Amino acid sequence: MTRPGAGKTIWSVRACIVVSAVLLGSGLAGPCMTIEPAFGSFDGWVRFLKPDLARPTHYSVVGGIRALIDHGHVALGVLLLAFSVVFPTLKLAVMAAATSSLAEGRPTGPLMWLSHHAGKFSMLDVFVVGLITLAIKGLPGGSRVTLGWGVGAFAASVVLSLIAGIVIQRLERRTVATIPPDVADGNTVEGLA
Amino acid sequence: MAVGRYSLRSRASRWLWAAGTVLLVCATGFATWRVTRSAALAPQTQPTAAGAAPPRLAPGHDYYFHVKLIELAEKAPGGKAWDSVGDSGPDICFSLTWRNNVIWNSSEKPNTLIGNWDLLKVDVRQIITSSGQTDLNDLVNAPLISYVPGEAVELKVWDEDTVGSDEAGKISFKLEDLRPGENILNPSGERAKAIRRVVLSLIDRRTPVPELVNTISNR
Repeated sequence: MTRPGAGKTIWSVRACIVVSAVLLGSGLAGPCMTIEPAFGSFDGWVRFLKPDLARPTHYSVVGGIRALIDHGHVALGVLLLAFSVVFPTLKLAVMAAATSSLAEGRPTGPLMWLSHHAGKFSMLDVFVVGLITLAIKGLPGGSRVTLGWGVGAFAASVVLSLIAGIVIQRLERRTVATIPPDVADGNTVEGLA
Repeated sequence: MAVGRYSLRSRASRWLWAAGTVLLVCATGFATWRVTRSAALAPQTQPTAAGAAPPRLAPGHDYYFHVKLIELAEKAPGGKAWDSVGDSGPDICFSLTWRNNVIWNSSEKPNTLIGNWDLLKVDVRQIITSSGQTDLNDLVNAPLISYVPGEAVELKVWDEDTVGSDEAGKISFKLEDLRPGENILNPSGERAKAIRRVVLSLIDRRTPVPELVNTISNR
């Protein structure tokens, strides 16, 4: 049993989660940054004699993590994998399950609470990309890093998931508190579960 | 029983939403990876028209006229030996004349019947004296010509000797008969004399540097 209008809100949250999932998937696999190497006054020579070195390199979040692991930075790679790929995906899954619980008038459980409060860590890789951008901008030789649309999609996904998390928490506070304990076990709201 | 059924249904619904979300993330990620990968590969896999006419020189474009290789006959014109003193081969040199001006004099390739000139020539002394800087164009071992239909470039080949030099032959290349890239020619006729084979390469001046490097490495 939920408050009138809660059904509409739950569907809005679900739509938010679906969009966030689509953005997350495309943000993880889409182009995240392009590194265009430059070699200062030797730029022409390097481009002429070793063109492979001067070719721009494109990275996605997943590709970047793979490159880190391949180059021996396993700890950093696993950390980024956990907070950029696994955690945001699980968080969305937990939130989607939570909407199902809310539609039935049940509490969302401790996992939802945990994922909502740990949500801020899922911006970790955007922070890392920002750091890399700053670091490479400071390098001599004029190397450049340009950010791809993958970063935007990923950031939008994180923001949407944060909004969905906040709305779910508010909904839970408002609705579950009003449900009698005997109803909380089995009743569902028509058309929501 | 009713509570148990509801509980089972509710649990299934929760798992369905959770698994569906994970699947959606994976499917979108996979689709994005496929699309970006195929977009990256697209320029390399563009089909070439079968049986298409070979490309021609573009009027008004500037081309590097690179003589890659010259092969001479075993005897000098007139049937005499290349070296009148010993039995060594000719010291091959050539020049290129365009619009009545000599635009290129080659380096000498001593004691050989096949002279070979690379497109890249690094003059280390010149680079050092110019404080370590040079223009990429200065490294290209070929003159520039501008293609105008009807014009020709004349190649003159000789055997460089300390006392005089023996002409090996002359060839006039009509530019409209040449193609961008490599041209292999087996000249005949009275003026060609001892020249048996000439390999020319015409490279558009606007060729991007990576392609130019590929051309250089393709000897």
